[in-house]
Amino acid sequence: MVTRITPEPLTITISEEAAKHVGQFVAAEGKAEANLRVGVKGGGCSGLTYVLEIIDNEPDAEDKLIEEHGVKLYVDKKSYIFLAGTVLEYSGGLNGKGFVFNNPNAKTTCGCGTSFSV
Amino acid sequence: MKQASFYELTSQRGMIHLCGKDSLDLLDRLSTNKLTDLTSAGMGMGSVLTTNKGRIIDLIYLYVFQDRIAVTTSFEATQKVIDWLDFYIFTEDVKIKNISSDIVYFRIFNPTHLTDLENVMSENMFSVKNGLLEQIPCTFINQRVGNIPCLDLITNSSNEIKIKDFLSNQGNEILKKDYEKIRIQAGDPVFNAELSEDYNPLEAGLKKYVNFNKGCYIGQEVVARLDTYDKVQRSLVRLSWSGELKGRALLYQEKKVGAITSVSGNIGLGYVHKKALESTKPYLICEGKSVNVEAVLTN
Repeated sequence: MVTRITPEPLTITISEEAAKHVGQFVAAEGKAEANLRVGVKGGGCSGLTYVLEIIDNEPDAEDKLIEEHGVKLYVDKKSYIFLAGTVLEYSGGLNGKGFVFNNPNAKTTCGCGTSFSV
Repeated sequence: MKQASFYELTSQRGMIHLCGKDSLDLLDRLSTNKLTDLTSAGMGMGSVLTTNKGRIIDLIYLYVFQDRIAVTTSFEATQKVIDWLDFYIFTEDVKIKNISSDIVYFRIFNPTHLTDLENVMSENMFSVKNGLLEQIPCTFINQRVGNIPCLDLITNSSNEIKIKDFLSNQGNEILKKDYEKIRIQAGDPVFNAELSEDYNPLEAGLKKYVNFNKGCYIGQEVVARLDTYDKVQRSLVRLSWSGELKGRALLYQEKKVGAITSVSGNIGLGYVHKKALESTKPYLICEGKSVNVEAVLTN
């Protein structure tokens, strides 16, 4: 019997743990809402670098909005192409790296972990 | 007394303008030199765009103006450079305009022998200034071919005849084959010969345009590792031989150790493996003839 599968569109997700830490940063900055810009910019050893910042300003009209675990993620259209399918996680503990992008599009990642190529 | 001489580089140099507040930051993230040191209008610098494997896309020169950054490229690489920069523009405020077909580009040697150019000459390499020559608006750049100082003059292509007449009246036009000889003698690499994705900046003698303290740029990890661990495997060298050579492969102890990339008469440029250069008198062979290494142009 053939099972029909409807493919889910690729999106960007944030883990519960990462969302909790975003909430803590937002609270520490005295902000009411957890609005996060997630994106990519040119540079870094491998070609592309992740961008992650808490934003106050109005997002761009063409930004994609993903809302999960109480956090609003704004992603510009071009960055979305390179980030589709990414899970934003948080790695804590003594060897933790903080926020980590698990990006299925990344073919290589440089030593520092913030730069990747596709 | 030496006379001024000039060569028209229009077919060999491209030019693009970058406007927008993020232009310098973008170029800094994508190339080898510390462009954030370009703090005021009139300053310029050479830098290399590299792939994430540290290979050369092009050697570019950047010049800061009040309202833009002018970037000169190798003419044949201009579109490739634009596409490369454009790929890495996400949300940044950067607009790129290719003005290569709107300009003419002259290189002047011994420019002090030309009248009206004293006020644009400078000791500062790559310094740039706008000015008038014969009432024609021009951009002047203090450049070098190897160690030979020269003045580059760029103007709108509609002024080509007037500027060429002015230069011809006061100096000699250098023929293409003679300029090629000057270039090779000076060890000045060009696109598609010495500069391509087959080579990295350290092999090509472009270390002077690599800043090892600036932090990340595309290809930085590879370029830094090559330098730190002394892993550069070949070097750009100036070569000479007797008679004519048609071949390009260079042999050392019957093994291929490199290739000639540019030729002018009985001199040339080429890449040679470091093992073959370790000997005090490397004895290279091309087409059965001996080829001398005149100088290693690594730095």
